[in-house]
Amino acid sequence: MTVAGWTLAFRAMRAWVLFVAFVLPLAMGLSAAEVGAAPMLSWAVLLELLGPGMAAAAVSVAVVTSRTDGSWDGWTALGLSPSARLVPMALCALMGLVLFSGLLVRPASPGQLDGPLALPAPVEEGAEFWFGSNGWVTPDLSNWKTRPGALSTPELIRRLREPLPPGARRGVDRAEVLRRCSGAVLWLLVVPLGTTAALRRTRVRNRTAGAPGISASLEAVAGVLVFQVAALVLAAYASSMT
Amino acid sequence: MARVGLSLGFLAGAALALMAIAVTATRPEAFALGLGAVCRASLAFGATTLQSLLPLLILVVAFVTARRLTVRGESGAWMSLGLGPMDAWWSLRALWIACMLLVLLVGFSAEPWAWSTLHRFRGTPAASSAGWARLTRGEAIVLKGGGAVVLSDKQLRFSAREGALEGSLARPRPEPLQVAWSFGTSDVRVLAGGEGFGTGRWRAEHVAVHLSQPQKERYLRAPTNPRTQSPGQLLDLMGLGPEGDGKQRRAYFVVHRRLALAAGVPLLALVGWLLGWSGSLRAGDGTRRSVLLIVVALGLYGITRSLDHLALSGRLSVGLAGWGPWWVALGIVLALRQLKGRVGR
Repeated sequence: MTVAGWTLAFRAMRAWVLFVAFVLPLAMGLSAAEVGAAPMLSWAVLLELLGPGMAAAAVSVAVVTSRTDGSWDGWTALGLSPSARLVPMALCALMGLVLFSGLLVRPASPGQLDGPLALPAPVEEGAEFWFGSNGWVTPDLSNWKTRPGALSTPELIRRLREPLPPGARRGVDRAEVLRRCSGAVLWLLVVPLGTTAALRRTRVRNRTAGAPGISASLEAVAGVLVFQVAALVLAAYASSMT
Repeated sequence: MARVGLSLGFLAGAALALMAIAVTATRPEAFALGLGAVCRASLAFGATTLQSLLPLLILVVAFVTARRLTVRGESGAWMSLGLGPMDAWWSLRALWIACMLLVLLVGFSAEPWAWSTLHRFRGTPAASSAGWARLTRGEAIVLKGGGAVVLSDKQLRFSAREGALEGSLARPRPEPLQVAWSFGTSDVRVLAGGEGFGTGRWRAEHVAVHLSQPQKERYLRAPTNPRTQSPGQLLDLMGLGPEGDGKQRRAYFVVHRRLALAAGVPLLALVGWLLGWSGSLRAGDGTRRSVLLIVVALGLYGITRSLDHLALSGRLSVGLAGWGPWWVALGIVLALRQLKGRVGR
């Protein structure tokens, strides 16, 4: 019975790889055309940003294909529950969480860190004098001069727990944690989002996967984008107002 | 067609709003300026993109409508009567002209307002507002040379390494109309090595800090970018001549681009119409045509932006850059005529 789930997962993975191979160079080309120079975002950041959307679209396409070729209803008739069929795809999404969400694995090159919300360090790089309770002093602020995006998640959590020097910028570390956690949660949501859109958009009369596949993918991608933008806006709010 | 237009228009509007929020609000300093400022900036960003978005929207609406006619079998019925897609497209000429006028109106009215509004959120005024907001929340602003400014006990305390100044300024108050700051009783200590003052402690009853006259003029100057100018001001810029420091060229570029975007509406509608129209329904045809539409739309967008950069860098005539994409669109229409041979008119 698990063959059904792995077949779906394989189809979704294949669609995701195809989307990545098509969308990533296209996005880099368009961003280069937009600024008239080299692309603004590196492939690692683009994968972190667009990966979940493409995964949700890939899940939609896999489920819609399964529905239109009849295998979905066939497995249901054989007694396999829909949720059991989604487990392998959820496991693949977990792999995406580990590799691309930025929560567990960080890009090796510092040049690949600047995403859409490049948060500054709590203390600016050039700071030497700092106002303390005894007037102007020259404390060691090196721990606070690293941008949160350059820290691994355990280092970031550790720094978040330490008391911030008075006058340092509050909220940037919290905003970065929020950004990474939302990226991770998004990978967990791609399977439910893609499947729900696919089941909503497919009708019994659909003989080909074309139109329902496109509309289901668009719906799933829209859900992912709304979540991503909401998370980024929240992180921006946390970095500037807390 | 009205239903398709409304549905797709709503979708495009939602996508544009999402993109505007993503571009303007997801910045580390955005909310320091206040929620109202973020909303205004998002609205302005959306309006700057609206004129470019409308022709693409019309392309998609025309494609989807023609596709629906095909799926329902109406296109086949038209063709059996000897009428082709050109006849159907021509029967909607009043609508294309109305859309063209709408794009023209947006380009010459909403866009200058939007670019002027965005101008107010960029550069020194916005940076100083964000800086003041940070100070009032107890954050230190680091000065060039390693010093810092911090607001503590209603006093602005500072230490500047360059010039070795240190002190506190009471009751800081920004005065945006004069582009100045005023302070109450102030203490300034000049440390050893400082230049311009004698070493020691200085006390003042009142201190005002303001920009020099040229800096103030630059700070308060209205935007000069042709995109921010009204049609009348654009005409003035176009009459400047070569001594206008490149502004004449940019003004011509903006006028060509806005006119071309409006004039391209019927042509893009025709491209969408021909791509979506088919006399018979075949399996998989819809997906192939949809992919082709995406390729055409992205290709035209990429060509437009690349030509913009070439024109602004002076390597291409502004007229050619403005109207170039529509020559490509015309080529697509002719290619569809020749390759498919399915234009009845």
